[in-house]
Amino acid sequence: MIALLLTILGPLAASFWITAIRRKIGYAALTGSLASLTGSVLLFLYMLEGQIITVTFAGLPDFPFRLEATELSVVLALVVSTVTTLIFIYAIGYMAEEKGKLRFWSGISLFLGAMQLLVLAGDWILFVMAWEIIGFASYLLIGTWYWKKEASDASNKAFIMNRVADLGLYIGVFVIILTSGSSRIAAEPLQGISMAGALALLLAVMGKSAQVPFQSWLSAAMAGPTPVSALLHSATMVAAGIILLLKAFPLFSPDALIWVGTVGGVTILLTGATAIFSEDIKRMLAASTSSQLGFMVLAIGAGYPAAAIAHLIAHAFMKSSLFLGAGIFQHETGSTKYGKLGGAGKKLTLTFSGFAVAGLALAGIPPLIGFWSKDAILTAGLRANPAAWYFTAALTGAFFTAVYMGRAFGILWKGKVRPNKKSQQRSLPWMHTGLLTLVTAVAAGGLFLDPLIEEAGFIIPKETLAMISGLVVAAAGLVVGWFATAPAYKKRIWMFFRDNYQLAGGYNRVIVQPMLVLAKDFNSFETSLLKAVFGIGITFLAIARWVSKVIDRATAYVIDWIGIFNMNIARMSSFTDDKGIVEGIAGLVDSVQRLGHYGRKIQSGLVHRELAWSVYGMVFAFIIILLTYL
Amino acid sequence: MDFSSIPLLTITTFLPIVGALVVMVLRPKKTETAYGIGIAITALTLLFTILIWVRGFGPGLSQIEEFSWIPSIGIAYRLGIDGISFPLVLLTALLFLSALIFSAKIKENANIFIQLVLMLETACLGVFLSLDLFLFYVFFEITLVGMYFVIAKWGHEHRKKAALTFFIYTLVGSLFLLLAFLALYLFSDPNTFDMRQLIANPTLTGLAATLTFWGLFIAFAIKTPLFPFHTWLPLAHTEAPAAGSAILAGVLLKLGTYGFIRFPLLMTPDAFREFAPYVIIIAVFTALYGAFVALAQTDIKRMVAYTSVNHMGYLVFGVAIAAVTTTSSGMIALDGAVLQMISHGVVTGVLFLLIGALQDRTQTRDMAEMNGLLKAYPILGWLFIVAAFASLGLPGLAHFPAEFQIFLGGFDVYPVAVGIIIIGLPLTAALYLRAIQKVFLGTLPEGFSGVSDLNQRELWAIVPLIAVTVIIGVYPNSLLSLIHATTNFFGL
Repeated sequence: MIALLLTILGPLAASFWITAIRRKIGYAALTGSLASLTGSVLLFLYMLEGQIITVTFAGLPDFPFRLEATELSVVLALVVSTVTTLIFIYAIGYMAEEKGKLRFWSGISLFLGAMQLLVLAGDWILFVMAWEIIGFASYLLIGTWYWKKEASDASNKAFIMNRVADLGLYIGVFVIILTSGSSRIAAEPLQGISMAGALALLLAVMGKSAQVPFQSWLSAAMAGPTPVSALLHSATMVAAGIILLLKAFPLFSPDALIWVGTVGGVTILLTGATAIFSEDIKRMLAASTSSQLGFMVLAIGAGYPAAAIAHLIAHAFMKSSLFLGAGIFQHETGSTKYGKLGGAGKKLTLTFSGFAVAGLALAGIPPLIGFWSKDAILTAGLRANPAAWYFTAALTGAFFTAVYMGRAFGILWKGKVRPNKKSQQRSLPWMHTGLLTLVTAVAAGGLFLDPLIEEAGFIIPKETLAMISGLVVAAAGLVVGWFATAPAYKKRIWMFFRDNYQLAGGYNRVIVQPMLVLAKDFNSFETSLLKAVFGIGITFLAIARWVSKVIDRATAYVIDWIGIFNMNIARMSSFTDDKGIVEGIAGLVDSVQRLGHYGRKIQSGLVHRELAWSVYGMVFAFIIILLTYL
Repeated sequence: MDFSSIPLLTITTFLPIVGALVVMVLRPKKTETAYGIGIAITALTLLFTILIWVRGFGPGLSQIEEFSWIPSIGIAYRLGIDGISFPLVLLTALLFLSALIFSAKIKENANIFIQLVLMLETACLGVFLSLDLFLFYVFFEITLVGMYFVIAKWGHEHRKKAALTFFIYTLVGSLFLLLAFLALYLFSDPNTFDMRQLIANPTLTGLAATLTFWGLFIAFAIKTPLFPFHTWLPLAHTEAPAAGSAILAGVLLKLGTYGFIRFPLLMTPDAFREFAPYVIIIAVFTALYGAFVALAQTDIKRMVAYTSVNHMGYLVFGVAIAAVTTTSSGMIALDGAVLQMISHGVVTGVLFLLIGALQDRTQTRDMAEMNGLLKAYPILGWLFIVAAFASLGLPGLAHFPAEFQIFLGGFDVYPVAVGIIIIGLPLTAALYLRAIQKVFLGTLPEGFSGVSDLNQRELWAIVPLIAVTVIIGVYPNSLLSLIHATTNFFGL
């Protein structure tokens, strides 16, 4: 139990420390991630002994919160904390030269804690909580340099797009809870969920894992610091979508899985093409992330979660290495544009070799880790139904991957080296430590992938045909990419690929503008409603004023008339010479006249009186209306 | 005297007004002394509410305190508490304390201001604790008077207009409430104003029940408010002083929502069930309408005011779901609705206080005129960001458990309605992110020279509320266990 809490609370405590104490922030964050790593290693060891640790505590009535270290979640937690710790080491170097350290470190620690919570969540409500907190942390991280318009726009875009897709998660979780009567994440549920529920969950996956058409927030998110990208794109954030699919996989019907496979396949192809036509190394990597996650979604759609897990783990190491390498190039040249990066690889050979190993792995070259996981996915495609679609999509995607990686190598290596200055980067040791350790994992990880997946309770599918075809397209793709380095893609059609298929204007047109237009319309309606209400109020006030004036005059008239009448009587009575009667009547007149004065006071135009009258009038009108309609 | 026989509820209710009398008699020359008394009294009141909690109460109405008042027509002084009213009492005590601490900068007529606020607190506590229609009505009306003067005297530029609108509007509501109460009284057998009797055996049927239901509905829909009765809200919230807005949004709106649960849901349940679909349509529309209109605002305070409309839409939706179904889904939704009252009270209260602090510094509420303030006021800015994310429903903060339960319960009965109403979630996200981006992110204007970040007084008012937001978000069961016991007891 302590191991479980350590895994989650370690980074959260670090985040709190950083916000409140503000000292040794980088090291505090590193300590937090090491605590998380220790916790997950302990969990792994317990698991090897056959212990599954669960913790249940009070959540919502009838739906307790639950943490459960299942085989799968322990393996994932281990991967998450390993990758993150290495990125943290790198980031100590990277952030030394950047602004916004405090926000960065507290945000990224929160992020890690939330990610571990997501991985280890044993009930759906806790899962949703972790999911959303990850979104919040990514908002903070992307906006680390909040004074830049680009950064704050990107963080808003990421959060809102995810929020839209998250509606799917809410609906999906409602369906799960109401179908099963429990919020527990069951490994072997008694019954599946409806098609609508499955599609809702798929929507959430598409948002978080940047699947088409939600892929554009991911490239915009490049506005954040590079370690953030490395983290977001590897074991966390985007991986959350895949973890959702893995946890919900047992609930999906075969019909629903076809949709999953379709989304994955389409994303592989479209975003793979985007990566090929990118003119910016980070944007290329971002598009590549969508595409690689598409592979995982595809594998789950094909019914082989094992392949997805293998690729999730492999991709976590490969993509974080690539980003870390790209970050070093960026610090060197001050840019992420291919145009400025030409030849940077020759200058920073160590970085370049790390980058190259990770890139070759991503392309699927043996014996690197990516070869094994891609092979698993191709096999899943071969065995799926319809194999034609799944396998073709996966194979084409593998070719695309090799092309864009080959192209990146070509540009980094072949360009002209800017001769003059020697590298100025002081913090390279930290950065290289992080990068090279990750690359080692990429190089040697292939050996451990099989046993690790078996510990998680799955078996990686393998087939010779898949292996051979994968190798062929990888080699072909790398060659094509190496020679296709020219930035000759100025034609509109390629721009269209490159800019994430801004059909109908993209996110701005499809989500933001309709929202703002509707808001404007509602607001103008609201304004006229306010005017109308005040109009009614003023009208009633005017009526009340008028009525009171009329009543005032009428009473005055009547009273005067009564007075005169009485006077006349009195005059008449004077003929009778009866003094007693005369006095009595005079007294009566007097009192009536005084009454008249009193009455006039009621109608005297005091604002409050009129208000009261208007209120009563309004209520009366309301009641009449109500009664006539009921 | 043993602990269980102390009339804690009465003491809690009338402690603030006693404090007001003390201020009235002493007429402290220094405003510090006056605020000292006021803050001490509100803190003591909070302590007494916690004592009520410590003493414990059952799922049903308990800790009853009853004295004969006008026996000939069955009016009595009756107070009591359960899991629905207690969280509100706690919220009231907490928010008034914060509001008074925050207001300590008001120097003009401070004595009268403190007296009014304390009177208002007694009235609010009285509303939540009353178990007698007549007593409830009296307290309900007194809240109006207190708030009217707070807005009219200490508000911003259009305060007179705002106060008057608020007053007239809610007075109209009160008249409907009076009629409905009379109906409840006249149709009960034997005639009584005792709310426990009226809840235990709701006797109204047919047209009388229908009319009573709609009377109650209009009264509370104005107070809550629901579309189209919400038009008093933006003006009153925007023009009131910061502490006034916090109390108005935090506590006074809850008089309406509390009323929805205590009266129509428990006293005219059949009529409510019959008309619940209409209420649901109104609630869904209110929620989206509030969100959209808020999105279009340029005045940050007005924007937050409209998000209240949105949140109240969710809340009434939850209550209506509870009216429709007697399954556990209804209970889930009602649990969520009750918790939503507290969450909204705390979160919106703190947002208004923060905006008050912001306005004190920038002298404007127009978002277009502010930029990059996170650099100038980091503490203010970060607290605002946390509160804003709480308001948009981020898990780990107060609104999430409430809204999640409302939607979960509702989804069982009206999945389509939930499908529509949750569009409000990305909308509120968008509007808060937009506000944060405009006001706090970006770069500070050249040559910006502002006063310093939040001071001690402001921190003492704001930080406890933020802490409560986090506690409710992380450990919702702290309140939900109380709430759930009561909703379970009423078999809702």
